[in-house]
Amino acid sequence: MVTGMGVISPLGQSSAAFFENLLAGVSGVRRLPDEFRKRLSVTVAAPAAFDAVRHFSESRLRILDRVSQFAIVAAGQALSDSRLELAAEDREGIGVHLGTGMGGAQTTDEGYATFYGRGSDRVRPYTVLMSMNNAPASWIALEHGLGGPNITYSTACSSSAVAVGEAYRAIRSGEAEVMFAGGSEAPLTQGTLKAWDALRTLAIEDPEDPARSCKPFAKDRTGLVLGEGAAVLLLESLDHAQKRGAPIRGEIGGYGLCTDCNHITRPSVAGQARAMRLALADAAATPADINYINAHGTGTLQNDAVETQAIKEVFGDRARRIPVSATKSMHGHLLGAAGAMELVATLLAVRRSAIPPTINLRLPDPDCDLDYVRDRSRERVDIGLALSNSFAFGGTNAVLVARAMEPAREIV
Amino acid sequence: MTTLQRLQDLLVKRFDLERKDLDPAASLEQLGLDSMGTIDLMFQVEDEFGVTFPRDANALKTVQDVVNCIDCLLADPAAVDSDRGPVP
Repeated sequence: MVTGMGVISPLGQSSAAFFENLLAGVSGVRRLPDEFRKRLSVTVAAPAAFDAVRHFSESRLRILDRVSQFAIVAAGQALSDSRLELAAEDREGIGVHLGTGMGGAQTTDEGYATFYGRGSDRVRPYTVLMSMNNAPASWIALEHGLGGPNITYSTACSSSAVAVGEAYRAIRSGEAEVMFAGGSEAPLTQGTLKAWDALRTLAIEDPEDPARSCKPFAKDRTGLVLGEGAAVLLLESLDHAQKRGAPIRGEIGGYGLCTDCNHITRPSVAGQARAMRLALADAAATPADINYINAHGTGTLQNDAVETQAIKEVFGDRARRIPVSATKSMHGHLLGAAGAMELVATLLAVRRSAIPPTINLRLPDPDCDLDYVRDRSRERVDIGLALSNSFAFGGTNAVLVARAMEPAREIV
Repeated sequence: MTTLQRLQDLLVKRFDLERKDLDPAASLEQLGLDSMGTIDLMFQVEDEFGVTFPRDANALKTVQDVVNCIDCLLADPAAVDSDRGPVP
C-alpha cells in the first residue's frame, strides 16, 4: 500500500501541486540564466523552485548537498501525508530504499572547480559526505531514526523505479512492514550539464517558447530536458496500514525488472517489452487490464520509437486504444528520481481518474502512432490498473504497476 | 576585536549557536561540535583568520583551545596565508 507521498519537483513542492500542474499541462522547462549557460550548448532545463533556507539552517546546509535536501523534505512530506506516528513504531524494522543517478553532483562539481578550475586547495571538508550516492537515503534514516535496511540504487534513469520496486518486494515478502522508497536527483550543475551536452542527447530549445522544448513522441523531438527534484513514498503492508487506519493513496500491484544487455545506451524493444510483461505477470494481470501507461517517454529519437514498438508488442491490437502519456514533457527528465516521480503521477492518475497529457506533441511521428493524450488531460477515466515505465542507460528496465484500492478495502 | 570575539562571531553566524553559550571554557562537544563538526570549524577558522591548521592539529576541546591555537598560528608566519579569503 502507498500511504504517503512527498514531492519536490519543477512543477511544485507537494504531490498535490505537482499533479494539478500535470493535469493543467504546465511546463516546468525554462531557459537557463545567461551567465550559467555561457560555456554550455544546452540552454534549457527544468529546475525546482526549492527554497533551501526555508527548510535548513546554515550549518546544516554546509553538509547537505541539494540532492539530500530534496530527499529529506520529500520524505518528511510523505511521512506527514501518511499520518504515521513513528514514535509508536518499531523503527528498527523500517528501511529506506532510494534511487539516484548522480548523487551529490553539485558538491562533486564544486570540489573539482575549486581544485582543478581555481587551482585552490580549499576543497570543503564535507565533500565526500555530501557527494556520496547514499547520502540522501542515510539522511532520511538519521532524520527519523530508521534502523532497517538502507539501500541506494543507482541504475541511471530507472534508479528510483528499482528502489520502489525492491521496497515493494521487501514488504510483499514480509521482510518489512513499512518502507520509505523513492528517488532524488539534483543534476543541474554546469559540469553535469556539460557532460550531457557532450552526449548530444539534450533537447534543442524551441525557437518560439523554451517551455516547449521537450517533445516526446513528436516528429520534431530533439532530445531530453534535464530536471531536478525528489519523490518519496511511504509503503506499508495492507495489514499494517489497516491496523492503524492509514489513508490509502494507492497500491503498487506489480514490478517487472530486467536488463537489455545489448548496448550501453541503445534501448531495446525486446527488453522494454519483457519488463512490461514481467510487471503484468507479477500483478497477475493481463494486457487487457491496463488502461493507462505513463511512458518513459524521454523525447529522444530512439527511446520514443522503441518504447512505442515495445508497447505494441505487449498490448497487440489494444496498444492504440490505451492512453499513453509522457509527463517528462512537463517536468523534464529527473534521471534517478524519474521513476518514483512518474509513479506518483501514475498513482494519482488512477486515484483521481484523470490522465495527464503529453504536451508539445504538435507534429505526429509515423513511428509513434499510439494515443499519447495530446495537449489536454483526460478526466473521468476509470483506469483501474496502470503501468509506469522506466528504462535506463546501462539497460536496466523497471516497470511498476499502479492500482487503485478496491473501495471495500479502502479505509479513508 | 580579540580572537575570542572573532571566533564567537563565527560560531554564532556559521554554526547557529547563541553567544551566551560561548564561554571560553565551553566544551565544543557540548556545543554540538563533535569530531566532524570540529573539522568544519577548523575549515571555517582557516578562512576567517587566514591560517592553516597543521595536519596533526587535534585536542581542540574548548572554545579557549581554539583561541589559543589561532593565536599560536597567527604568530607563526609559516602558518599564515595572507592570500586566503573566505570561500565564496
